[in-house]
Amino acid sequence: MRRSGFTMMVLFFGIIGSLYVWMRIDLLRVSSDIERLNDQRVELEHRQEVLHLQLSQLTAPQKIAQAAKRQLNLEMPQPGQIVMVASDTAMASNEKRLKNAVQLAQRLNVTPHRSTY
Amino acid sequence: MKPNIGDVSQSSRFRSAILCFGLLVGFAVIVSRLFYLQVIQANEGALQAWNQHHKSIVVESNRGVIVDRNGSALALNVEVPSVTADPMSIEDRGKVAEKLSRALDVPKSQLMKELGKKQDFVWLKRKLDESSAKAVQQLSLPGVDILMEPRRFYPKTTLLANLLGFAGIDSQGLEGIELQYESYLQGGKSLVVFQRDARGRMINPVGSRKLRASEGHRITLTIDEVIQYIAEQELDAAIQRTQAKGGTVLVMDPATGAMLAWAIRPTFDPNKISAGSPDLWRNRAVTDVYEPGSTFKVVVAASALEEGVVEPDTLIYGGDGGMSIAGTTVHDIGKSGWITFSEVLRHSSNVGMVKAAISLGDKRLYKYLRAFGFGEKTEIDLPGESAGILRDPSKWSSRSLASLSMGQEVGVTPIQLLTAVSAVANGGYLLKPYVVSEVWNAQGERVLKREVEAKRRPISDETAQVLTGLLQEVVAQGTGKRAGLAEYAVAGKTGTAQVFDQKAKAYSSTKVIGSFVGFVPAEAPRLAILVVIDEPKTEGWGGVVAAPVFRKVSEQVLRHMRIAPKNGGLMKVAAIS
Repeated sequence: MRRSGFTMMVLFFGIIGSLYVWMRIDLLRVSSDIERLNDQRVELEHRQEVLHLQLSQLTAPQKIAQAAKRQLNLEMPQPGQIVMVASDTAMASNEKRLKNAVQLAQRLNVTPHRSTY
Repeated sequence: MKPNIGDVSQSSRFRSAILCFGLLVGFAVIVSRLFYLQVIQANEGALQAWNQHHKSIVVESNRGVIVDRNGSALALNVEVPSVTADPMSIEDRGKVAEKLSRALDVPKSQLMKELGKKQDFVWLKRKLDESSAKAVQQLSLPGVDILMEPRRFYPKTTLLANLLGFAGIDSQGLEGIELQYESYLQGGKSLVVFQRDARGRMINPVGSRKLRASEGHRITLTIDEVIQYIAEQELDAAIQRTQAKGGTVLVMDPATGAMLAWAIRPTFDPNKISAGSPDLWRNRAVTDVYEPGSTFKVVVAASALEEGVVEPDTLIYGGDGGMSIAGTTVHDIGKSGWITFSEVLRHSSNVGMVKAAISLGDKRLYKYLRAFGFGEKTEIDLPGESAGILRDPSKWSSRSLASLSMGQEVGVTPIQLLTAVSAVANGGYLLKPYVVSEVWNAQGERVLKREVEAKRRPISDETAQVLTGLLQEVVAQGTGKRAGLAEYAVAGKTGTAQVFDQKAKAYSSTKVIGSFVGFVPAEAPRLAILVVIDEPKTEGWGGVVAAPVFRKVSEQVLRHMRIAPKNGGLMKVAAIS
């Protein structure tokens, strides 16, 4: 009876000890994973920055114009080669702007600077 | 005498008790001390230990990005390597300096000076390219390390350089938008943490060192990079064609005061600031003043029309093209005879405009010039703005009124003149021009939004309409013919100003500034454009050197902005098909 109790106690502490060791090892493993992922994040962020810079450089109007001339043999249109077509959207946009200008004038309520001489 | 066993036992117990007590007291002292250190002083102790094993260095964090109105990046950051060293842990400094000198292309003496410092951290070379950093890493020098820090890049190189300005080595704004919006652009500081070994040497790997701080705000400009490119291309072509010293093209939305393009030549590459002279960095459209010449007649005409001293069909005697004033003669190009005020503007008659200005009088003219914003800053959100030069009438000579009517004896900045002419385009409102429309923080919240802001209204809508008609005639039949567009009505004015020679104390007969200022479409203006060509050599007249630039820029920009012509193009399409 006494031996059985002692065995149970050893077993109990053994399990607790093993759990503790397992937990510590797992903690270290997870910490290591977090550290690795953090490094990966930093590296990916850096890569993103570099790609963003390259994208901005390649989409610069001067780059596109150069590529259009050299690689595609494109040229700027000559006068008369372009025909402007009136669009409802453009007209609506102009009307909206005029309306905004009137509203601005009403809001400002500023009178002309006519002289009193 | 033999000792009594009972006495010995008692003595032994007494000593044992003393020993036990001593141990107990000692143990209690140790426990108390441990309690004090581990519990009461726990935080201070931990900090002290951390400081012994770590070294922290503060470096600048990412500045905010600057983008154009469509979100295209104009200034951004990329982390680049910098070489650092811990001189205290380097034994053979001469050998290390020699190896680094070859890898970094830095004089050995300079490296020796840095490595000779009694510090545990020094910068050896900052913000270098990846290949140089790899070369340093391959050397595996003890006490030498690579640290990543952000570097400012301007991916569009010279595009918009004079407006953007640039940031310094410590990411502090030094010119242009970078300087003006420094408080928004600068981020928090980043803490870089090194672990140290028992001898105090830094040992931690690079990747895990950086603790990121808050990033700077994102700034959205009113500038459109395509319009900017068009303006710069045409300005470059004009300068090359006329062999001019430099030039400026500004494009503004006259209804809001928002700048769409800001082209200045000569310019510089903000990625290589050390390669250009500081003179190139200047934003000359706000810092430099010039005599506007006949483009200034727009403002004088607006004042005369507003006051009712002239009307478009008022007859003015231009005589034989000359007029004596204060011992000097004002000349026109040819004989004029009796001409209407609209013809005065159309042919840019100096005599006619002088007479209109005389009718107006010095006080009234001065009042209008001030109302149009001359002699004061436009309050544009850019650093170093000049107020221009406009003297008080009490300091005018007997010729000043005549000179002012022709755009002499007055110093204006390009942005002042364009803002004044925009007031004619928008129905009489003098607006505050601006280049930044919005500012966003790193969390995506908008912290600043610019609204249209009118300073005052120098002229009425009626006067603006009448003057717009007269300026349309200038382009249709007068000196500004080369600015005309087939599909759109253009209103504008040419200007050819002689440069005042400071040495000779007289106007130069060879050096001129050719300019054109106008707006399009005249009936509902969307673009106000100023073109200034500085000291062209092959040809000088504003109508010849600057007006064609206006036409080419406005033609392409109207197309880019998808602004339909007044009568559309449908009939023309039908005719073609």
